[in-house]
Amino acid sequence: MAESDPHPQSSPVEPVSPPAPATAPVDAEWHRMSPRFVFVGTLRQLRGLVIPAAIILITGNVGRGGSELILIGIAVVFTVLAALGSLIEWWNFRYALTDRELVVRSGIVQRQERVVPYGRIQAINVSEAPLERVAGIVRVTVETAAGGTADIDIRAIAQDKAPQLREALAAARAQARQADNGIAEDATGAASTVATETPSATTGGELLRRLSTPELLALGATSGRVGPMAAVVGATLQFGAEIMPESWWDRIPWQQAEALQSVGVVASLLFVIAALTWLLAIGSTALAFGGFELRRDGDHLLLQHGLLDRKRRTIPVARIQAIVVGEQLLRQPFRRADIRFESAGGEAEGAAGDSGVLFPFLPRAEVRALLGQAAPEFATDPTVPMSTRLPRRSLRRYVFGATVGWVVFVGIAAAVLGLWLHRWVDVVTWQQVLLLLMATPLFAWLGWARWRDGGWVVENGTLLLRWRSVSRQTLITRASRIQRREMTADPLQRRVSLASVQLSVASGLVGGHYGLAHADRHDTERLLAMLGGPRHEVVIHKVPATVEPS
Amino acid sequence: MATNTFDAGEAGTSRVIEVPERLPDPLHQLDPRARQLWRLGSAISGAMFVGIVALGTFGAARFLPDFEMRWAWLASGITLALAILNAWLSPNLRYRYWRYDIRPDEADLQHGWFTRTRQLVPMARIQHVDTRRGPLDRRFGLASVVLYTAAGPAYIPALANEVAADVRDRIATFANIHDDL
Repeated sequence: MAESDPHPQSSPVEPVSPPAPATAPVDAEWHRMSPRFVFVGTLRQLRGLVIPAAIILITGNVGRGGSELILIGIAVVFTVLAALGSLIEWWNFRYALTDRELVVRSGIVQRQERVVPYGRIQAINVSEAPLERVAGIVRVTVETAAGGTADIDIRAIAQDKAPQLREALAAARAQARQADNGIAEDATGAASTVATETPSATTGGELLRRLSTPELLALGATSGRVGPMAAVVGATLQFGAEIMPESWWDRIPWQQAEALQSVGVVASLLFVIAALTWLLAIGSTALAFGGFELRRDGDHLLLQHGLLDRKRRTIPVARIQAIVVGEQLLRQPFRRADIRFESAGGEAEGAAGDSGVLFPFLPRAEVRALLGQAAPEFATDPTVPMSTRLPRRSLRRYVFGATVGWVVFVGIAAAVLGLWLHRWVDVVTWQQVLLLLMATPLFAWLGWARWRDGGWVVENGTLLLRWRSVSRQTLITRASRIQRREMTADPLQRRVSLASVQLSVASGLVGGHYGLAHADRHDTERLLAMLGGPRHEVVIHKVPATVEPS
Repeated sequence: MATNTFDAGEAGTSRVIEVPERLPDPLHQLDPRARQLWRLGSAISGAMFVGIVALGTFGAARFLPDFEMRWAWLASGITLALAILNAWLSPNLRYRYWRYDIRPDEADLQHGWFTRTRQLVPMARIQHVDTRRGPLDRRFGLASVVLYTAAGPAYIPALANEVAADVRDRIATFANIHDDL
């Protein structure tokens, strides 16, 4: 691997002068990790071989003529390889602190050069494992808000040099932040791994809203848990029939069971199943969301819910990136909504960030007021009309998409059940298929509803984006919270000047992505431009002359 | 096809203009060597794919009584033809539709010959920047740039080494503003 390296390094001394291309920062000094990394790295790589080696030693026929020599030979080869690998890794890993950013070069096969502007540093951590402690080195990791793990990992710094490096980075970060917006308090430098007091989520803070018992019951009765519960009930009945003792079967008066074929009995059976399912749904919802409380304690929101297993959650208000107000199909006529949040984990909490339910059930009219208390940045009436709607010509696509999806699903299900699984499942009749296909207009309606609801409005930097899957959803976020704006258009969309838009906010490891398909292309462009604010004109920058004419 | 323009222009000297009604296409193209790089990449992956198909079909022809040899020839032949077509055409198309701009306010990327994608990444949201050079990239003196935001990365592939370094440095400069997400 290393031998194929076409870019030999230039200088053996540390710090190293930047090699070949002009990719190096101008007046930076390149540093390598502590050479003791080679020792620790070798041991680490060999550690993975200890167990296989032990297995070979125990199970293998050691002791028979000369096999020890072979084993020792293999061990030596592995050690040499591990040492060589660590040496190359050490050799290829370099970092530099320029006047504005931290630069790290690494990689053997894939060369990587990573630039972290000081102002972007979120956390600087120094850690040491036992092996490192013995070798007198520490590991320094630097985190930014991108992703959840360490973005820069300097695995071996001499113990006495680590504080120096950390101070330098912290100072540089403080300076970068101060130079910018003067957020001085936040940038007191030494605060590299600040652990701000996180309030314990018990009963502290001001109670913003509590889920009442009627609300809890209504939540359960209209919840999407009905689907999964139906599956549970169905499976139980099926399973119950399977495990029923033979003698019970014999006791069933089969003559009367013929009546099962009659519509009345089937209908009442279905009714019982439905009622049972519904009760189960209410019950499981009550278990999960019972006693739901939303509190605010200064900069944090405290959530707790659950009857048996009490779940508690703390969310820093400033880390909330977006709010999604949902109106389930069954709740929409009653003007009830739920509120969810997208949060980028806290700097101090070290959490990767996540999303979840902020409040599960409340009158739509109260959403704005509750957000005003809980997340004022997003306090908007979620029912405001969308200023930009989907164009007439995309209706066809929505209806077609929803209905074709259903017909294909029924077709495949019928084919699978009827052709392949008929040995285990009763034969699917064409009446049943027809019955299912009769639901097609329902899906056509869903497509139409999706088209009707889709749209967005931007006002004073607040964006509301509305769409429907089955339930109607309204995203509320700030233009300044949007990490990436994207539009795509396939050839069919381009033909009629349509485009799909996708907006990403920070959340978890991969972010939260929200979008709307088949919007007018110009509307989409306008939205993308508007969310960017005033635009800088394009500067054509110098590009080396092309080698060949295109 | 439009060639690259070589006007001088220092980073950070641009004027701020009004919020536009339309999004003009980005202007910068990738390095022309991108086509060779992608062609080589497609050729390698295509060859592997053809190999797998050939192994599967000829294996089937050898061991399954019903499976005639000519089907194996047909399947492998079609796969080979498609792989060649792909390696021949798609790099040109990809290159032709790839455009990018690095403005002081945001990175503007546009690509895709079938589904065309436009990505706008505000500089204030970029957390860090990478340049990457894999073994194939290095053969052609190319590098790709990766922009990391808190909602995932965006890529600019196949730039000349020096251009990639320049793009990366400019992004790092523009992005060096503290911002709480």
